[in-house]
Amino acid sequence: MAFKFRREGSDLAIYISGVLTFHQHKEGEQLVYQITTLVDSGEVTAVRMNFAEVLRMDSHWLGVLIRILRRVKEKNATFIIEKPNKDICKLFDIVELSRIAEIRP
Amino acid sequence: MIQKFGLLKYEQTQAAEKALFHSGNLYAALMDRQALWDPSTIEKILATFPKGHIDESELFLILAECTANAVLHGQAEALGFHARKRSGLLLLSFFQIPPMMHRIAQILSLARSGNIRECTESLPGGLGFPILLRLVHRITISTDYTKLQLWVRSK
Repeated sequence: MAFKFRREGSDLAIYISGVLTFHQHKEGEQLVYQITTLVDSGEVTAVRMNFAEVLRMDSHWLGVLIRILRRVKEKNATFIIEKPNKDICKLFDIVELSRIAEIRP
Repeated sequence: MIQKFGLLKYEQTQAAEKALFHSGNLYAALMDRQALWDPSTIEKILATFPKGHIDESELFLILAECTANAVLHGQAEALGFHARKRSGLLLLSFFQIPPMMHRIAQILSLARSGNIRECTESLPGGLGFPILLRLVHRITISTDYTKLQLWVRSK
């Protein structure tokens, strides 16, 4: 897996790729830390996570997303998940993630 | 025929072969701890598993969740996995060495009784079982805590 950050105005866009499982738990911790640091600076009003290149994901990474979502909302910023594939949408549907996060096809 | 991943001890192989062997097996695999921590192991199983019995995305989730349970919460040194048809259902069975901790029954029970939103918020045992319970017909644990069995409605 890999991720890269891009500032797009006051938005923070994160482009993730690959397969996201518990095997990449260290990368998950790193991602939470990096996003938290940037959001805490107060310059970011929206965090957009682009899933177009994510192939699969497990519940460990759902936990990572929920942790990021909480940190972002604590700072009154917006959290958006963009372009998840149909398998990942199915996982989001199971846990009803759309009730707490904005998901854009 | 069991597909083996990693360097397995003789006793582990013997125990797993005894537990996993069945003439009706569609697939069987055995992994050592290092292989459980290797993300390519799941991809290799997905590539080899006979097609047409279960959606690949569902099999991926089942393998990822059960492997995570075994290595993160169960301190598994080896994990066997086999699939066969039983009573019109697809039985996916995970055999763990050493056996699972008894706490797993409580976590499964909690996941069965609670709704997924509660699990999302307080994370008792994580989201793994709540997700698995939505994907499969039934989940059972053998009385000796060596096997976690998932019963899936066949495609």
